[in-house]
Amino acid sequence: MNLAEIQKEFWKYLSSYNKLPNLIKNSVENSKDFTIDERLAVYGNAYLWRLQEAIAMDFPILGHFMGHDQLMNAIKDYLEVNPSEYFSISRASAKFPYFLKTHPIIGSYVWADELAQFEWAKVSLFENLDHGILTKSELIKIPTEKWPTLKFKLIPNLTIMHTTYRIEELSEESELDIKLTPTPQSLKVWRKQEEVYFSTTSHEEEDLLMAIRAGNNFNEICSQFGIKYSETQAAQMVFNIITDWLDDEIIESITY
Amino acid sequence: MLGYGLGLRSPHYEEVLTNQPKVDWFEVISENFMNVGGQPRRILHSIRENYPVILHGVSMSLGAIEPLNKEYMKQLKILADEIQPQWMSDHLCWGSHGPHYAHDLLPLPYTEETLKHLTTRIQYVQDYLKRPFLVENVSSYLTYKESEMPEWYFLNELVTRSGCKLLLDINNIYVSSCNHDFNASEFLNALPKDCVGQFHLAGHLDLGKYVNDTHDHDVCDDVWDLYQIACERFAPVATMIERDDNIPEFIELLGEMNKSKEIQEKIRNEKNREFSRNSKRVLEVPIQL
Repeated sequence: MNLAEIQKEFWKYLSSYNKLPNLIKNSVENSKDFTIDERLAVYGNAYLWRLQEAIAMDFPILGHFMGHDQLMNAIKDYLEVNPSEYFSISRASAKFPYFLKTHPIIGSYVWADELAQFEWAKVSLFENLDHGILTKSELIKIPTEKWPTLKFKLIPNLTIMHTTYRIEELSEESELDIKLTPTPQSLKVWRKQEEVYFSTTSHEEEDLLMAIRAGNNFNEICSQFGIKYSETQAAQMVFNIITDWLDDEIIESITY
Repeated sequence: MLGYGLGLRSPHYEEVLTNQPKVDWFEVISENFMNVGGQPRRILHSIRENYPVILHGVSMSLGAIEPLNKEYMKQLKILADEIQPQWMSDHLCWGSHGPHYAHDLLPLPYTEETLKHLTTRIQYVQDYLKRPFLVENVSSYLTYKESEMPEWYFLNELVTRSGCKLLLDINNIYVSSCNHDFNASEFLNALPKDCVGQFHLAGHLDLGKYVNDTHDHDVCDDVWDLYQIACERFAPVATMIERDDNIPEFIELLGEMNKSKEIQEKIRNEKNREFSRNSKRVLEVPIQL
């Protein structure tokens, strides 16, 4: 076999856990006390083990509930259909929460995918690229007449999750037989400086986050809230939430 | 010669930042800091303020048949421009197939086809990164029937054709020599004396049937002996200790690093004395016109 054929057959061996037919065995030198199968298995085992260990580290709370073996089996199932697509192993977990939505484990832990999404958000935000932050002093310099057309840009290191269960209350110390009742909520997870924070959001805060993400300006946002509140109340409420966000450092910049 | 260094791993960040131990340089895994911000990037920059840092990659997949990952190369260059390493390195292996990564150092067949493929790629990488690029021999657990030459001959040809230098991992030579039953000293002595830019030293796990390159133990006596032979042939060469698992207290790694220094410096001093004696002898011979 040439170089391309060797790599194709070797990859087939690794990624299918030697379940798919492959020709790599024909290319490997044999020896009496260390056979072809044993030699290949060193690579097969290392491939799986290294990725399982790396991914499991990103989901310590999920692992607490599922147990080590069950989590490792779920990760093995995941890797079979989602081989790592990024050069850093630290990103191999990215699709795992979505994979769990349709995995049999969800029958035992209905909130497993939501918890995994929450844990992954915390891990990935920790090392995401840095960005600018809007400060209060920058905001108060904006002339009053510019406010109606003011647009806010949220930081990239902000994830907004909609969950059915209060998965943020789970921890590695939680009772294993804990029962969560459905309590739909919105959760924001973000990085401030070098720490990752999370908090549930009020309906107003959630609506404001969505409006900003949709590209609406201050005037349009206030009009949206004006259905429930007076114009002045709406403007004050939006301003208050934005002021809190400045403390949380979740606004990157403004344009007007 | 840059001196004697250590592989920098997260359990030792605080020790290094707080106490600034006497280490000539640190080597970091490039991928841990590529396209990354927050605390990891801040720590790397803080360490760079006090030490030279070498970037050592594990995912370039030099030997893979597909084109090099453009995004990977771009991110690596960005990091290199920030950190300004004296050289960079990665492994003589393949680790990706199509868009997928094995996150392992998979062995290559030692063929003319592989030599041509690697030579072109290494030259491209050196031009792209605009820095010396070293390639590391990997531990292996299998060899291919397709191979046309032994590993040492392959390395010899590769450095000659590509113009790059080797990051010679002494432990990897030892591990492969056990797994493929060849003489590690002969391996070293078959390489050109000026082809090595850096040594790696690490520990392994002897499983009886085979030796596994685990990087989770101290450097063993056999590997220290091989290092001595390597120093006699190639010194002066910048040397570092790699430890990736079962990571001990920093002071233990420092002890191994100092041992690598003692061994190499002793050999260098002997070489220098020998050189002085020979020079003196030459001067004492009357010049006959």
